[in-house]
Amino acid sequence: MIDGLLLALSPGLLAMTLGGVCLGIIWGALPGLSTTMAMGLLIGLSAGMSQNVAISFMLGVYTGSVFGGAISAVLINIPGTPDAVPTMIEGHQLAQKGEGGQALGMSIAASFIGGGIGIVLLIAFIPLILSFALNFRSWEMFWLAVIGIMVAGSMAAGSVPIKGWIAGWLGMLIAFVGLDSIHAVPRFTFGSFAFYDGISYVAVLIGLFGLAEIFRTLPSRDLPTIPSKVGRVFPPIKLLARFTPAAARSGILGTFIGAIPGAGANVASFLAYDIGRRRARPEEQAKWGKGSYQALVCAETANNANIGGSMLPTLALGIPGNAAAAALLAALTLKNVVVGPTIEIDHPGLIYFIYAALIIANIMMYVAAFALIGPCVKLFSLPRGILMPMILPVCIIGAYAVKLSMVDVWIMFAAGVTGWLFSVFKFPVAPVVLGVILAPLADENLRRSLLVFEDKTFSFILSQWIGTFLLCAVLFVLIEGIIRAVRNARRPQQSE
Amino acid sequence: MPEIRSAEIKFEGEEANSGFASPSLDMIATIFLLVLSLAIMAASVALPMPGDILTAPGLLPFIVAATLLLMAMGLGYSAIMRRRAGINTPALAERDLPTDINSLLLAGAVGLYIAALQVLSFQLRTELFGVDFRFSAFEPVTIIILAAIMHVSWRGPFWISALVSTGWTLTLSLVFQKVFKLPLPGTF
Repeated sequence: MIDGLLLALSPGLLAMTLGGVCLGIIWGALPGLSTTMAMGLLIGLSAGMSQNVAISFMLGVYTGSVFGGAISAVLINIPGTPDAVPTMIEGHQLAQKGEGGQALGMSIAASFIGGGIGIVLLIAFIPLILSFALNFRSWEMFWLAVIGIMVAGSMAAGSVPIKGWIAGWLGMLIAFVGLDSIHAVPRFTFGSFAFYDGISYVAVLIGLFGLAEIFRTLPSRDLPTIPSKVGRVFPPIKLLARFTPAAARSGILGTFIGAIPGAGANVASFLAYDIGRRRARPEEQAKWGKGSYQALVCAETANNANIGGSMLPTLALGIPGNAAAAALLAALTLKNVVVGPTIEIDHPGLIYFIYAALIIANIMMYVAAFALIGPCVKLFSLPRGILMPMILPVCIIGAYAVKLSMVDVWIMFAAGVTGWLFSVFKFPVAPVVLGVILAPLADENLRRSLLVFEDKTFSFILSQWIGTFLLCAVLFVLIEGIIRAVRNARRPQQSE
Repeated sequence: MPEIRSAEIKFEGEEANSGFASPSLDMIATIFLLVLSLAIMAASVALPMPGDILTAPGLLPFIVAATLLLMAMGLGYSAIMRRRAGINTPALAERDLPTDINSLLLAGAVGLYIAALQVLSFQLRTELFGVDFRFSAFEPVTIIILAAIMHVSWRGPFWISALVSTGWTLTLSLVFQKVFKLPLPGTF
């Protein structure tokens, strides 16, 4: 761990982490530019970096952009990401009372505490999960991949889980293009050699989260109102100390939710916000929804703790906790880092370096956030018509950089148009990414496990208790989703 | 201070729009998904099978396409049920048509941009102050397309759009080529 920390503290890596954090905060603060979009676009940029530089940079972007969403949520009433919605409800009310700066200061402190709790729990639990995950064989890995896609679909689509599952399944179909991993048979390549290598998930990611967002938001005429002044940013220590129990509870909750494959920061912040309201004193409860600092602390601690939580399944199992973690996984894969139960054997010491990089990114987020609030407010006044087109060449370079191929740029364009169509037909896009990344894992492991189970009885298959437990979990997600969908279909007027 | 209701919350982000579309749009999606899943099922069966059926390359694609077919039927069923419940919203009633047309025109411009990068690819090398610089189709094509998109979407003075576009393109070109050592599209 000390070696990892010393390595992460080298001047070059510190500078890259700080660069990533600052870029992440500014990116997350701009309405419409989400964490996943930042991560997706910057994968291409990280292709030219060394492994450690890329990890430090990407973790910096991840940590910074999760907090950055709070700035626009509090000051201009537009959350950049779903997890910033509770922050917006409370923070903007405080901003209207002239306490926007203090609300942001509390958000920064809560984000820092949340990030810290997430990292501590990640370090504490990852050895346990890694040793447990070594029992996972093909059958278990197949079900784990399926559950990741299904939970992501279920969470992303809200009232219509079937749309989330369809999106995840479409992502799986995209991943089947190319040579199959066992027999090297070309699948769905239409005879073109360009597709033999498969469809680049980086290009799909950039198209779905970058280009599609440009198509969707650039022609829109909605413009936010820009605040004239922010006020005092540093929160009083007394106020911070008062909410320590709420922060600790929300941090632990956020980490555990982050560890569930597919359940992202939005679930964590909404749940922590709701539980916080139930557990608050009556006088504090009365302020909920009208500008409560405690509510703000609950939501912000949970969504930043989610970063550490989402790293648990990503690093230990190779199953990304959410779309942003999926982008991180893609960046690691580009650097030939194969995460999963054997990470300690395949890449000794890497996991400690990742812990250290996360700790440093969290500290830098705390320092940089205070410094960047002013410039972010100035950036809000930049016309969207100028800002969004500037992302366009970054999308193109990002897609091209991975394999230096124009085919990937065209794939990115197709993914962008598809992403825009998804918004027209109201399908979520995050499950597509999970599907694209997890399908090869599911495909290879299903066929390998079926070969192992050949000539075995059904009771033998069921006796593989981890696999059976995961199968039950998949059935639970399916049944719960169907019940939710039927209930919503019976109450159409309410759900529309 | 009025309390904010959930209906008033405006969210911007990739999942901002997920949920029920109008029944007509959901039916269009259903038909597309039915055709797609049937085509993939047929293509999966047609794939060569070098070994056992248990390791057939088309096994999981077939299962995924078959379950997608069932999900598409579920989506279609819910659309029919909502229509029967009295929701007869026309397909594009919830859409802002001028915005959608602008989105499509923008997509067309981006398609043109990528095609230009591919078709007009060239490379020029020059040395300035002892440093080697490479220019390709990326710089002129990006400056022109970006300035045009900025001018149309922002509607400010054209010289500002052109200036921002030129500055940004040259910055990207320098950063990616000199700092990240990445070649840019539009070259060969």
